[in-house]
Amino acid sequence: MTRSAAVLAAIFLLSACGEPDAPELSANAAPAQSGDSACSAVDADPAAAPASESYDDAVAAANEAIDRAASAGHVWTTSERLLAAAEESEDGGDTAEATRLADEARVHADLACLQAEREKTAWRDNIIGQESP
Amino acid sequence: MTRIAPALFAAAVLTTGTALGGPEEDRQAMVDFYSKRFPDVEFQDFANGLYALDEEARAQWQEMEDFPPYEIAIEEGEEYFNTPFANGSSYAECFENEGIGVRQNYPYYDAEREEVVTLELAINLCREANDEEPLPYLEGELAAISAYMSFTSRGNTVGVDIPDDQPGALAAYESGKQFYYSRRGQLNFACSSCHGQSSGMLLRADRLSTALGQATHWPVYRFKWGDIGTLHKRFRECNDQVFARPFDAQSEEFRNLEYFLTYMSNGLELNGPASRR
Repeated sequence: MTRSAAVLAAIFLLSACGEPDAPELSANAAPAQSGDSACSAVDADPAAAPASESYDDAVAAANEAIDRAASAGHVWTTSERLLAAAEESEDGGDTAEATRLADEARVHADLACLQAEREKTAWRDNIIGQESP
Repeated sequence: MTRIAPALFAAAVLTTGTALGGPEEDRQAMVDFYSKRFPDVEFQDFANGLYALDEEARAQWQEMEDFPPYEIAIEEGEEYFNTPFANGSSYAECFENEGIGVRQNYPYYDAEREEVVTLELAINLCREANDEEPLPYLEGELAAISAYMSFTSRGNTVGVDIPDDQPGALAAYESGKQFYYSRRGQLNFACSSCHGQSSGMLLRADRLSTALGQATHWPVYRFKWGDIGTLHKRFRECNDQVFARPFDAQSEEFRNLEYFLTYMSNGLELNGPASRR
């Protein structure tokens, strides 16, 4: 996976609040949104996946990942922009770059899914009034 | 979400929620938090957003209020509001008190529709009930009508209700609450990242406002927009700024978010429309 995608994954993971104590989902939580279980199957390190063998494979995987993130209400606009850039590169004749960009789009979408999974419980760490001003 | 899920969820909250606290406890905890963080700001002044926290910006804003940029929107909104529909009916017939001084009652949970109804949604529901095309939700004519209705409601106290006998209302509130506090986008920010823990701090040239008071002054003339826009336009903009795909204006997600956010401002006086940088 590209270095930039790996750095992005590291930034995402480090920028999160500290891991919560994984409390049981309390009655005070909002009900789970329909379809968000699709994100629970996403690999914990999306950047570690091997590069796609073809541009078409990369685009298909990216679109599938974006749809997964959308079902959880957590699409990153960066994944959409990377996919658009991939299509531009392909139109411009640079298939290798297009494939790389589409793979990055998939990584961004999978990171969004991981974010959705984590935020199912982690959001409670941010409640105003629970911490010192 | 099925129709059963909100009722079951809310039933669980109501039976176990007292130990965990509810909306009023959330609101009081928020008020206490900001009172300690900004001890020199009076409660009602939180409705003025960043202008309650930044003296220099406040002085500039007060000068602008001599010739407020949203005045035109209020005038246009009044004209739109008073222009009859093609069928001869009018907006006044859709609202309590003929639509004058009613903003403090929004948003509310409609038990029949099983969803949160915002003022902007109500405006379009009125149009559709009278065979008129719905208006876009972000700006333009609908924002102007909203501005007029807000202006007639100035000074009224925000009083969002979460009825005990409507389980879906609590579910909608909790959904909005979770949205507010959930990190999203590539920047991994929650609404509270800026407006809670970082409130009062500078983000580039702007001082970050508090969550308390955020819902009192809409719609807003933002100089950045060069026009008046709705709260959901700002929601979309904020989401986009953290590289999160925004939900549609008046989507269930954003209406629930507005429900939560407005409840947090209960007790504050409405002061819209307003101007902001």
